[in-house]
Amino acid sequence: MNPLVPLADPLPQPAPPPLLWALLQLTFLLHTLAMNLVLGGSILALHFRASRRAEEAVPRNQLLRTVEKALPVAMAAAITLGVAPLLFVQVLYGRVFFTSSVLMGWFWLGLMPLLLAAYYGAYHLAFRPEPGPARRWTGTLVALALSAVAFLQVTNATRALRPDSFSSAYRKDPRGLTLNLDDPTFWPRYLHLLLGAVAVAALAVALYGALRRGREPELARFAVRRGTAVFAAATAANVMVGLALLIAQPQPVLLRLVGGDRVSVSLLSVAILLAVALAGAAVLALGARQPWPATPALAALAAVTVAAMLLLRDDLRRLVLHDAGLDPPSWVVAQWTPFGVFAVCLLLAVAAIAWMVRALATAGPAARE
Amino acid sequence: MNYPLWDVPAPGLLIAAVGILHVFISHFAVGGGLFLVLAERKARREQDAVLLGFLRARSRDFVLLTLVAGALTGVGIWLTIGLVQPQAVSALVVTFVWAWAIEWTFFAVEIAAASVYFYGWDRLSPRQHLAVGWVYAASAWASLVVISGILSFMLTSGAWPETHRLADGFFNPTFLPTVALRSAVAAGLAGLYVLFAAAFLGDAELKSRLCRWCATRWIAPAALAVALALVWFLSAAAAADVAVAETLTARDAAPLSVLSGVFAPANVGQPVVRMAARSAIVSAVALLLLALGVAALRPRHYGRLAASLLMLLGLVAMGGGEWVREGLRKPWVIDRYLFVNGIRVSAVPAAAAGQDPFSVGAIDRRGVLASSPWSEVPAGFRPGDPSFERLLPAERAALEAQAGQVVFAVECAACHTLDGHLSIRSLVRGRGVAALETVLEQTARPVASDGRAASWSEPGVRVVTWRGRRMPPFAGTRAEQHALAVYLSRLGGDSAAGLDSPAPPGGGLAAFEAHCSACHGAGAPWPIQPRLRGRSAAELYELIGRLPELREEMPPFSGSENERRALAAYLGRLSAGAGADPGEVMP
Repeated sequence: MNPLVPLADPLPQPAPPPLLWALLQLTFLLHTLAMNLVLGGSILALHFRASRRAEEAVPRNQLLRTVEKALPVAMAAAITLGVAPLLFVQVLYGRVFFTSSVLMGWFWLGLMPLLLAAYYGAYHLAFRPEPGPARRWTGTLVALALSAVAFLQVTNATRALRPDSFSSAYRKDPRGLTLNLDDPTFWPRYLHLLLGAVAVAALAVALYGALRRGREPELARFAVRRGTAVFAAATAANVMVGLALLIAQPQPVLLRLVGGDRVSVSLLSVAILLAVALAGAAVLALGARQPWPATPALAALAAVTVAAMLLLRDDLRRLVLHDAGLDPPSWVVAQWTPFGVFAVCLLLAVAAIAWMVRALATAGPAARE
Repeated sequence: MNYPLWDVPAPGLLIAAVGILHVFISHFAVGGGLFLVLAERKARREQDAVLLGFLRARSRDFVLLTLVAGALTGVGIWLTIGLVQPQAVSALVVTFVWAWAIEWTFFAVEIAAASVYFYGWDRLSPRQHLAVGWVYAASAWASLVVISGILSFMLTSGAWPETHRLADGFFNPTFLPTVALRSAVAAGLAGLYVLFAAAFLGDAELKSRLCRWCATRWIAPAALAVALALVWFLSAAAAADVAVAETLTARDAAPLSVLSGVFAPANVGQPVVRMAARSAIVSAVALLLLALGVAALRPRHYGRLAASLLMLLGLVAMGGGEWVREGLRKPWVIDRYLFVNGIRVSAVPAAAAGQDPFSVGAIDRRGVLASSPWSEVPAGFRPGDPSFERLLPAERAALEAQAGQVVFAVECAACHTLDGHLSIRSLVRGRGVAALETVLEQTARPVASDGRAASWSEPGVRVVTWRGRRMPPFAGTRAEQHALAVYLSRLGGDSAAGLDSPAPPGGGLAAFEAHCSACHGAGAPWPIQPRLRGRSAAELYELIGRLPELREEMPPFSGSENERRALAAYLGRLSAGAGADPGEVMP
């Protein structure tokens, strides 16, 4: 028997599904990178704040201040870039997305206060540089709130992959108070997300150090070494967690991931190989006298790995939803003119943002009144 | 129905709470951007360092409020509506995906520009800084324009129900009035916010200047523009068949008299929407008077208390206005496509309409319970099945009440709570099953654009409702309608509802119960006895034939000729003080 899943709207899809799919993947990749910087950055800031080694206090505090000042900007980017995939996922997978959201309704609404707390906390840290115990508490609050947001996102995402559980979960409690902790994939996936975020943020710190090595050598050295070390440790751990996540998949999905479906097998192999290669390369870089030359390559490879992981994530969804009878709708009446307007607006937006950011980046004290 | 129902009381209030907060902040974000850039230009031209310092400090608050709370409440309202009305959000994202995507590009520019504007005070040249300010103002307003297209589409969907083209839905009859109205509100809110901030200034001279400037150059002109745009908006909505007059005042009221009509102590219109309209108008007028009379003319007496009151008035005016817009849209959530309870009326192509399992016609045929796979229907409720029909009356009525409760959750709970907002218990108190069934039949009926009767499957069908209540039609089988009536009657205090034998069919009492008692029965708001005024059965027979002429809120008599005669005879006897025929008194 097919699981209970809502029917599609009696309306045509506004574009060929591959176009919507491509936009979803692209925007979700951008959102994920920014989100990793925010979530991982908030956890790294906790690490820097908790560290007690006196000999690295100066560069560590400098780096902590840099991370704190960057967090609100990264958060604005993560939220802005999160709106687009939220739109496209609803068009493509609304039937499971809305259902999984209703099941956790009150928790899902909790995203808003959690993000508000994290955002205002991040601004507080960025705007008020005075040291004090309140900063530690605020930093902890920001990291906890963002981790809770990730927890809720993983809850929704894992539930959406279990259409067979919709009906029983709703019958058990229709008030929107259902999480998904019984799902064997939940905890590995959540841990996978957290470790991935820490790894990406640590690599961003290393990259920052590599870019600053001419101006602030001590800070740059510390940032590159510590960033690369944390990246290597988190990525190595994440390879293991990723394997646990793979094993926790329902058997039909697992069988196709490891041999039954050519696309899935290819994506899985590439993702695992890239992750292992990244961890190994990071360890090798740490062993070198100057680790910074490897940092840009590591960052590029990490971005490719995140993209591969996201494609694998999407492929997993394709397999599960196909089994549940949810194939992409075939009724398409493409709205090419509105799409063209969107494409033009997007180009103009990118140009406008690039101009503004460049103006800010290139202007210096000389431009002051 | 199609999606699981989130079981929370009055979910619409949740949308209202998040939505009103968001529109208050987001309109301010639009107007505030324009204010900042115009004020900065003025300060730079006049080399007014004091004003420039004020703007610089306020731009930080502006970023904190608009970038954080504005953006997040925007996401929040989207998530909230997705939980309460997933069917509506699904239709909106499928129909307007490119409009949302375009809006997102403006939103991204807006966020980036606000950040660069704030961080750029010391780093950008004055010219660059102003240019970034203009980029912010333009993108924020463009974002408002796109959202206005989608919001106004939900009220007046234009030619979209027939064509399903994005442009036909977006450029709908109330699109331009909505843009004008919201732009004016945004400008007014910008003035209001600066007025609020000015109350905290220590510099009396700057405070005085800002108060006068905001009250006379921003709030007062914006108030005039809001009034004009509101009349334009209401006229355009009424011309597009939105029940403006019927919802706010009397059905035959002219668009211009609607705004004053909401203050008339008449028993017409939708009471909650009328109250919201009164609150909005009173608050807006009070805000204008306070801004001009105190802040502008006597800035020394203008302090934090008055400033807080101004903000509160602004919030109430904005919230009241949004409530009225939502009220005007009822019973639709998407005009002429989707009712508030998730039931649809049409789809394209026409052949698919009959196949849509959530259209009124399909639910009438199949039953609302069979169309609600997420709901748990009492196992024994099988009308027409011999096992059900053989049950003892008490057992059968109990099952009907249970099934009726499920029907209520599916079709009614989107708006009604049991005892809170739009309390159903108070609405059905003392009502019999027959009376409630009649009310359910009269909630809404379909008409074509020229007013003639139509079917629900006709593309672009309009809806006529009763007494401004703007209820969606009951969709389901007769047995489900009866079950809902039994549940509601029991909820209203009649614990024996569904058990009692109905009045003898064809009798006057039965006709009265069915067609009149909802409003004129015992305990109802308009008891029948004083209204009969000694009239004879013949006079009453004639009056029954033209009820809407007597009072516009009365529906035409929908019974048969025999029922009309029996009803007239029954009322004639009541009128003469003879009481009911003993044979018609219920046991």
